[in-house]
Amino acid sequence: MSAGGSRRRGRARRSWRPDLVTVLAVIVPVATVAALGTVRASTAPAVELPPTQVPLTRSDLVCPAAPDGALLLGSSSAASGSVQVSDLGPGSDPATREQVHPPAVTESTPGQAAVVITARGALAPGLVATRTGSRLSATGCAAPQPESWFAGLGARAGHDTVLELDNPDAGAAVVDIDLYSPRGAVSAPDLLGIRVPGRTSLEVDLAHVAPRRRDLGARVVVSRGRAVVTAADRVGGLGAGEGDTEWIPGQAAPQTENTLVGLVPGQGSRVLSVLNPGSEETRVTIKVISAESVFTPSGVDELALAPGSTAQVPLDEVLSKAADQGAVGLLVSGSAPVVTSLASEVGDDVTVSAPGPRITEEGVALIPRGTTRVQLAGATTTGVAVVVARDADGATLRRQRVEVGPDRGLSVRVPADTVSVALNVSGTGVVAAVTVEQRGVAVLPVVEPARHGYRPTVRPGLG
Amino acid sequence: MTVTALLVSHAGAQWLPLVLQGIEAQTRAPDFRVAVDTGGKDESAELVVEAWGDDALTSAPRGTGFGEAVALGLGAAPDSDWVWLLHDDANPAPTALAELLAATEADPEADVLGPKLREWPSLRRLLELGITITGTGRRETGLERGEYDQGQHDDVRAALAVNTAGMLVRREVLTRLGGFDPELPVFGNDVDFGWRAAAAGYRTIVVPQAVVFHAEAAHRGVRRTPLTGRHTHYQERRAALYTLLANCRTRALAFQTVRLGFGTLLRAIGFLLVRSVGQAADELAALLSIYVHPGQIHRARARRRPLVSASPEEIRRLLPPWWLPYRHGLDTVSDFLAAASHQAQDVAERRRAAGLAARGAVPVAASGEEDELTEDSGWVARLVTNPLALAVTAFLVLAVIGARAAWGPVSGGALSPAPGRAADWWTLYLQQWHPLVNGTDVPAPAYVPVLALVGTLLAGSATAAVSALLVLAIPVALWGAWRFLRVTGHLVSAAGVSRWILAGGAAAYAMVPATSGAWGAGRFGLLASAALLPWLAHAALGFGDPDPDRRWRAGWRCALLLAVAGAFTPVLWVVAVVLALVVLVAGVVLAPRTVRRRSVFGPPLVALVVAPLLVLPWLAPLVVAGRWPGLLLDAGRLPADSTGFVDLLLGRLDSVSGFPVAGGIVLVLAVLALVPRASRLLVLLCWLVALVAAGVAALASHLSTDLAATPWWPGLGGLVLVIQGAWITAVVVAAGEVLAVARGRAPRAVGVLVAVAVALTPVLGMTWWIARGTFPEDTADTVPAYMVQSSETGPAHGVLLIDGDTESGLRYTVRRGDGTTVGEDEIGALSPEDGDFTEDVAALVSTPTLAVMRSLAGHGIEYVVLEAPADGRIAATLDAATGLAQASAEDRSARAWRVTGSAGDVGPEGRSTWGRGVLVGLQGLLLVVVAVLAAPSRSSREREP
Repeated sequence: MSAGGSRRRGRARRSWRPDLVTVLAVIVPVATVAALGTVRASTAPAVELPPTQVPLTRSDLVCPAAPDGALLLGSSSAASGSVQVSDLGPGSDPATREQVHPPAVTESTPGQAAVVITARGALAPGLVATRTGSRLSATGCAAPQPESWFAGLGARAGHDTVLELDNPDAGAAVVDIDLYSPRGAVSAPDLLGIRVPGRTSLEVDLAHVAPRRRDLGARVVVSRGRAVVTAADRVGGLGAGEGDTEWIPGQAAPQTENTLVGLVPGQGSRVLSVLNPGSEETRVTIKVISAESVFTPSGVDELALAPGSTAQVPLDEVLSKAADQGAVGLLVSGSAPVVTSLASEVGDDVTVSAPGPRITEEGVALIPRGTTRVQLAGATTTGVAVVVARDADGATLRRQRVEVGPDRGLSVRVPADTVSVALNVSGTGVVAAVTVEQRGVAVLPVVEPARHGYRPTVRPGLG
Repeated sequence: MTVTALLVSHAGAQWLPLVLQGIEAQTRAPDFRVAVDTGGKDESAELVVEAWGDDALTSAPRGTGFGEAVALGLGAAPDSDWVWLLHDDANPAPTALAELLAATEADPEADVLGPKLREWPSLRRLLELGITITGTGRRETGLERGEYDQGQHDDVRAALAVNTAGMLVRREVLTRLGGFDPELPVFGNDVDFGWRAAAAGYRTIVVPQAVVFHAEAAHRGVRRTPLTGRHTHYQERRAALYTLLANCRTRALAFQTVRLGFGTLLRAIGFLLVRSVGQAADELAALLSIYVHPGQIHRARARRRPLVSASPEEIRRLLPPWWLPYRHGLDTVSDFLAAASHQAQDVAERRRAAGLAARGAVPVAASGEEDELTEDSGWVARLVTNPLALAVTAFLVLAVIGARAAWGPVSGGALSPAPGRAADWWTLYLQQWHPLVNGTDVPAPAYVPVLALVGTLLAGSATAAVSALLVLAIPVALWGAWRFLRVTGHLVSAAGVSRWILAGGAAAYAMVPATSGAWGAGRFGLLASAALLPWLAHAALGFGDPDPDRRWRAGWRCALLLAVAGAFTPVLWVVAVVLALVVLVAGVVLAPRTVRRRSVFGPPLVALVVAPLLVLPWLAPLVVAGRWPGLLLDAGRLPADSTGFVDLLLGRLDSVSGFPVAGGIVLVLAVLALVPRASRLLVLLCWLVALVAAGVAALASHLSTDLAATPWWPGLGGLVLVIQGAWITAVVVAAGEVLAVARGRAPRAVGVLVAVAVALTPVLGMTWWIARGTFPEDTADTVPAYMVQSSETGPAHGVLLIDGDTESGLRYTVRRGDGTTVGEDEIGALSPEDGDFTEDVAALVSTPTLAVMRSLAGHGIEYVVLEAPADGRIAATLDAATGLAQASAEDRSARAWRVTGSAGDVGPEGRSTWGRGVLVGLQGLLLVVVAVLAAPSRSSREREP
């Protein structure tokens, strides 16, 4: 084989076949990109460490002070026994024991002071209580919460709110209150670091700390220890006519979707109070929840709330008509979380309702006797709710199974003797309230009493 | 005036005939001649007898010192005014004695006279013109090494001492001073004698007109006597130390003793660095011999004391200035650094030269750059007249401006705060058991000693070390990339790549730490690796050197650099291993015979094996305990964001940080770089490196696991650097080729286009970086100042920090000492969970009992902090707990308590063990050995003839 021959053959080969380097110059970059393509990007999963359920071994409920009236005591669990009931305040009576035999409801008449109900062991889960006041006002007794929000408070004659701070524990509690007005946050240094000594009840009259203000909102933070905060409103009482005391239910936290259930039929004044606690302007829309739909009533515009401010929306006409036509509540939606409450003055009785808790399993409300309606709304999906009405002895007066769905509300009438309403929800979650009419009107939210304790999951973290 | 010539000989037969002839040829012959032979085994004695007769010779036993020999000779000599001392290797010029005697007449005060000593056999180089001794014991001649005698030192002048070879001394002076010190048998007796003469008020002068040629047989080790032994350096050094301590002023004695101790240690390290282990040992042995015989010095000083009459100032004038040793030290260090940094620089030239030599051609200088650098003009003038230098300077200035956030204490992103002092890093590194969380035996990261060393050099400031790292990473990367790309360019063509292209490429690489987002995310480990990577690549080019010795040195150098870079970014070692395997396979296929040579496969193997050994105190405990995730952890806070496909392509660390435009341009150019045909092979090699890095990324990314406190996945940031580096190299190589082809042929626009393309990345990257200019804000400290103060008092004052809420779970950490600082993040992340302690915390937040509080106090927990926003229910639980007292928190939404049972005296304690000590000691030893082997083989001075 001559050199010339091989060169010729080489040239011939090159003419139809690229050399090795060129081939590799294509393969290597492609392989590089391909290898990179198989790289798996790891992401830190948002690790949720849900708490473990543990048996609830102790329940404390605090009922605010009331001039007179009764204490209704019951349980949504099956255990019977006695719970401890004691007054708050210096020189209070020694603790008494009250028997609880579910599904019966125990009625007692404690003194005027705030009351702490403590259940231990098997009685702790499901403990529920209601305190009724003069005329037909009533409020549920609440477990201590670290934070409460209120809208629709007042600090002037005729509409004066008193915040009651009840400390059920032996150690002192410290409470910080931030006030909001239509013009923004109210500077009230006296309301920061309020020390509530152990087992005492303290009243903060807003008319003293922020005089001549109306339409206030409040955030109450228990920064030390435990305390239950309730707001009681005195409406009227100037000149002619008897003043009325009505409790203003609070909210655990601001929400973007606030379902207010418990519309009282009849002519009267109705005012929706809204608080925007955020640092940005918030747009709020108001809709009426009726048995058929959720609609925006004509004449009610979108509301723009400056940061840290409150506003009142008169809804007299809209709601009078709607309530008469069977509407059960309002849906107040904010572009950011807001706090709301609805004050209705029908006849000469004032009723305030606030967005209630969402019931997903079993809710309960203990109520004074009267013309009673259970109103449900705010279901997220279609589901079933069973309303069970019982009298004081625990006898079932009525059991009604209703289908609930989104975009509509419904109302269930229960017999006048009813003192306990149980609500079993399956497949969805609803917000419910019981409206009682007798001489006046009371609206009580249906609550889900604590049935379990939760033990947080603890893991080491990075420093 | 009579003169006795006194010749001392010892086995000097090879020089003696000429010496005898020289004495014979004197224009002014000595009046008497005496010789002393100290028992050499050759025919020295016979030669003397033959020349001068039997009577002139006195024989002394072997091992007789110079001083004793002179004393013997004097005893045998008739009385005379002067004694002319001669060695058997010192040949006087014919006029030597005449000139010396003429000088005595010109300067009747002179008592000791010395000739000009010139090198024998070269005869032209100057050896000595009078001598003195520096404060560190260095024999100082005042001459440059190898200086030619051109009459530049031909003035008669006073000196501290003159060499005994050719020394003309008054006999009465010699006798009065007691001759030469017998403690200095061979070396250094001349300096000592001169010092004593000066102290006694005698005058020593140098007479340059008298010339003696000296072979310095003993000093050069050509002649070994029982007195010099094999260790001439030991003898010389011992003599120097003895001379200094015996003659210095009494009040300087203590200072001098300590100073010589430290000086000797430094010199020994210096000798080690140039692989002169024997000389290092001699240094230490000489010091030891002086230190263990204090009586010797004491006696010597006692002997000298009665004769001292001159003022210290007079002697001081004859000693060199105090700063001279430091200047010498500086010269040595700079010589060494220059030699070390030029080792691999000319691989390309040497390869080419070797290739040419193999073909029988003569190598020519490759480029004119070196000459330009040595041009004799001021650096300012060179700077302002050189646009490239201006551009580089501008880049460096901008880099410093871009890093403005890093001046001073800095933390944020992956960078924790620096510890208080660099010493804290040393402590952390030496501890086997760290008082972090509840005590852990996870070893400190491998980079801790590196930072500790930098911090120690920066006056012990750890903050300065971190700042230096952040500020200097980009300039050092630029410098390294420039050097690497320049050699690579020379591999492409003899002329090399245009320096503008080199600068553009180097700047593009130097911006990678910034544009990848490493800088902005505080990933200091990647910054260190980015700065070291081009130096490592540069060292690796040495594997291609034609000289096996240089290949081995490249191996050691790579081991060192790979160890340091791998300490910050361990994945680099994996890339190096895979790359070596690929090259090995390619080598076996393409050149099997070459690859089988030990000096070819050995050096890369050394680099790969020694690098992990150099980080053994970190590696071994991790492997033994099976903590594998620790082996592929990027430095800094965890978890690091994950690097995905697009990120690796665009040269950024994750999808949120970095400047992907810069990486995108590099990618496009790297693909285009494959087009030019001539440079395609080299570009392909660069792509091969990128492929290996991509492969490692693909495999490593599928590893992931959950550590106790955090999810873990391997840090791929180092691979981003490798890929970007490889692509930029490819672009530079191809751009150089395009320009070389275009020169003179294609329109100028082609060159401009290429230059713009290369410059685009650094310009855009720098603009982006400077405009961004921020360092991530560190998360606000939730621990109140008073707790910080308390926790800094000791590990028993821990602060338990609980974060989260009941619904989504709680995470706890324990702050001890000065909190989590740089180097401790990895330890915390790799520490296993202390199950009992977690149980305690869980009990604390749900059902706190006194037993729980006691257990917390036993773990050294003094405070409990519920971080903002505090879960109100947990806060209420803790408020109601016995054993906790409310304490004030940093802000309204956080809560704090003091554990009332905590006495602050129990808690985890840091401790070191002998095992850890041995590991660290081994590491230090190996480091010294590797450093010595990686250094240039000989100091540049010794290479001189």
